[in-house]
Amino acid sequence: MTIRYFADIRALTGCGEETWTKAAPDMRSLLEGLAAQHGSAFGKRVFEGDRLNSTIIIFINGRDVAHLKGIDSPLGCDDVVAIFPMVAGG
Amino acid sequence: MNGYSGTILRVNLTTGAVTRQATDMKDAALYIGARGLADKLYIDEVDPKVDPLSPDNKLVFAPGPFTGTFAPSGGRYHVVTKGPLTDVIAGANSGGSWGPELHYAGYDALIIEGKADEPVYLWIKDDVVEIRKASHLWGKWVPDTTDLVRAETDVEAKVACIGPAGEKQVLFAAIMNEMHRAAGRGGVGAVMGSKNLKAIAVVGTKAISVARPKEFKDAVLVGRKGIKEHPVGGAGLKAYGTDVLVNILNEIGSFPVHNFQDGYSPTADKVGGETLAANQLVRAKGCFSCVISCGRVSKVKNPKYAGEGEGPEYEAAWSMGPDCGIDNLDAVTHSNHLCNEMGMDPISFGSTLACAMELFEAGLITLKETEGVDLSFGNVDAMVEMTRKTGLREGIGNKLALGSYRLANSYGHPELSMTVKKQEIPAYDPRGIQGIGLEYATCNRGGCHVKGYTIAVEVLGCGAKLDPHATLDKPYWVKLFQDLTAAIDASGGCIFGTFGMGGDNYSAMLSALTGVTYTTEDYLKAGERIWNLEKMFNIGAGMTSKDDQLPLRMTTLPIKTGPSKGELSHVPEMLPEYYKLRGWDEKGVPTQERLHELQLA
Amino acid sequence: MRFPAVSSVGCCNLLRTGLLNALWACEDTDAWLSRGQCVASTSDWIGDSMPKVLMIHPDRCTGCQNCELACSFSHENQFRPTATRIHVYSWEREGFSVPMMCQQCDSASCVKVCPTGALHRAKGTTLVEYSREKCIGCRMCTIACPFGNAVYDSVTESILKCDTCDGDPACVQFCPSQALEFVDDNISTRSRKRELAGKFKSAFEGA
Repeated sequence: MTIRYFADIRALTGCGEETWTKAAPDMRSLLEGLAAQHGSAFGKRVFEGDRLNSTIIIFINGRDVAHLKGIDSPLGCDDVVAIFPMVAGG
Repeated sequence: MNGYSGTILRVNLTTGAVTRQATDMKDAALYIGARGLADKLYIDEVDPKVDPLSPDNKLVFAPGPFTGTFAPSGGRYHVVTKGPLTDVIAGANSGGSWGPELHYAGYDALIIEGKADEPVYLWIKDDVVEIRKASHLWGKWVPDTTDLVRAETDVEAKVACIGPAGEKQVLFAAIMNEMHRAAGRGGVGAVMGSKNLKAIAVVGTKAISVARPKEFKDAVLVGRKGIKEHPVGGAGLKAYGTDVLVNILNEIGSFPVHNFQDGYSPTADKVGGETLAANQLVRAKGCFSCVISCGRVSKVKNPKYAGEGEGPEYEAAWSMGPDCGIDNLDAVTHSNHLCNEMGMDPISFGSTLACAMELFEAGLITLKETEGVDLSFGNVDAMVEMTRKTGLREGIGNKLALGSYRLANSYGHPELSMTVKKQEIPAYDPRGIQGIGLEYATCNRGGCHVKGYTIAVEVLGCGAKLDPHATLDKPYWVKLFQDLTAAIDASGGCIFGTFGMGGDNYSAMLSALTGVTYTTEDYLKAGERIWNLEKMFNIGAGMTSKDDQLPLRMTTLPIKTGPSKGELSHVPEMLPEYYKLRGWDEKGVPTQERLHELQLA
Repeated sequence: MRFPAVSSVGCCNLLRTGLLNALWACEDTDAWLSRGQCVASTSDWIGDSMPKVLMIHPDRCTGCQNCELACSFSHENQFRPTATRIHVYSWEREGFSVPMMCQQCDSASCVKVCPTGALHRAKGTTLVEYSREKCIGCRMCTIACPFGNAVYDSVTESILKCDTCDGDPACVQFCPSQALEFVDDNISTRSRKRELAGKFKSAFEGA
């Protein structure tokens, strides 16, 4: 599984992209694993209690998890996950 | 009079006459100001069939009631004319601090008509207006023009001017103010150049009064708080600028590359906002009364492209970057600096160049025509050289200066121009994002994202989360964004204020400032009125529903790679519902009933 | 300038208001470390509380002029560019902006030249105050001020200079970038020292 980080999320993980080989059947377990790896600051950024933080956007293969199953979206080992803070532009 | 000065200034460059008229306060209430008031003044006076570059065309500049107050990020002005690129209504919006200065000088609008015999500039200091010779400035680029005009008028004067692109009537030339801010699209700079008007320098010292000061301040504080607490308005835009969008659009596979031949780039990150922040950003910049500071003061250290300036924004990084097959941010930023300094729209320029590259790779544009320059996709040196050549209309730049539609058409392949109403569509692939495609197709000023920015809900999840691939309800959202944006434009507000403020905030501030009561519904209605007024002008200019469509490629060539592989645009399916919601007939013509309801008939 | 001893009460106030955090935020970017110039500008010591300084961080200034708008509005309830006591100067080519206002000089030239005492510093304060009633409009102060921070306003027929808004400056409230802060006097130099100390820290850490 490929995990990509953008904007200020990169500062929390120290990288723009990494390969994740630990088991993660869904988004929740993936994020929990990533938080364990990268620290509580990352965890606080992506979680809001036990839900996905409302200021975070996550794509699985280019599809927003909001249009899949949210934090319970299933994951496969070839998926590309992209994690963004909510930003915008013009 | 609160929020308004009550005076409109008119300058006839043919006769040299400078006159004033009272602002019609009924119109001010109906159209608010800036875009709305400028539209009304322009459309009442100008024949929709006018030749945009003739002396019969007019140019109207207008601040809004917010402009010059501390309404958050509310310091903008609008320029209205008929666009030489599009041959429809052109309205370009700019920040900086020129708009507030015009408002302080005591004007709700400035109408420029006619044409001067030789280059001139306008010098406005409150009630004193002079038309001065500018032959010695003709040919100067925007930064030098700004400094020279200030040296002759007032060191603190705000200067709106054109560079060589406007002088030479590049069809997408811009009007620049404070050197780096742009009334960018549609060719408003070419109209200014066609009138031999080089610059407008303003100093204003008069007051803008407020109907209910405490209520206004309270509403402003609520608005500021909303923006500050919003992840985008409060932090995201200041940290990374609009260019942060590169990676987001690329990750959903709707990042157009190679003249929209595909929607994904494996090296997009190299021109994204994170890279800009790491390598080129000096500091954030904010326009007048701005609380967001999305502006980028940028410096390129690479000696080949060295320079300082502002930007690039997302659109410019895209158009001169991956749309041309380029991922060298130093070169792109350098070209963006050049576009600002010459006074040229980087969106239309980059997309026109991408079109030229496709024509070159197809063998239609030859090496002889390019004077030996290899115009293949990805040629960084060619992109930089073409930026300069286009702004100066040299060599093949003379053809690029006409925009991609006229360029591609001249080779018999208009379908290779990615335009709507002859204006280049921007950096969101409509095949992967349905709503923005409908905005491109229906926007009154031609291919444009900013007047109906549904990306906020289709991609960014601000306020609502819509599926970008779906068409359900998209016509409703497009209309809503178009109406709200028109009202905000007319108020003098920057639309980035919507990252934290809504119609309630805007109408509350406007009511307290002007003393005229606007409910949120009234506010949106004013926006709808402005939209329909512009539409009627366009119909008079000859537009039909055939012009409300995307380039053929968007409905016939699916995206080839990436997460939106296989997608096409479904604009034709959404259009009837959009017309119906707008209260227009099946040909897209506003019904008498709707016009009557909007007090337009 | 008198530097009163930093009392423990004063320190607690600082921590509670989070001003320390705001100031230490200077260290967050390399740009600020290399360019940050904290310029102490005015003092106001009211009674037993710590003297306050209107501090400028020009490197944080985005040139938005919200401070000017707040100043005009708080004094006159309208937006008049010639009413503001604070002015932002911008250089477009470099993208740099600096807000400027009265420095409330200890040995103020304006006070010295004022023939009527309209400009004066009351005993126990360090704010250069302006009494309109005593002013004869001679404008000697505008000539004397080496910074140009005293200005004659023909609309109100008075001298305009920063009055720190009775201890709650409007410009500070409206600045969106923390480029203006009204902080306890001794913080101004301390934060600058800390920033530079941070450079040493980075140098030794990096080695």
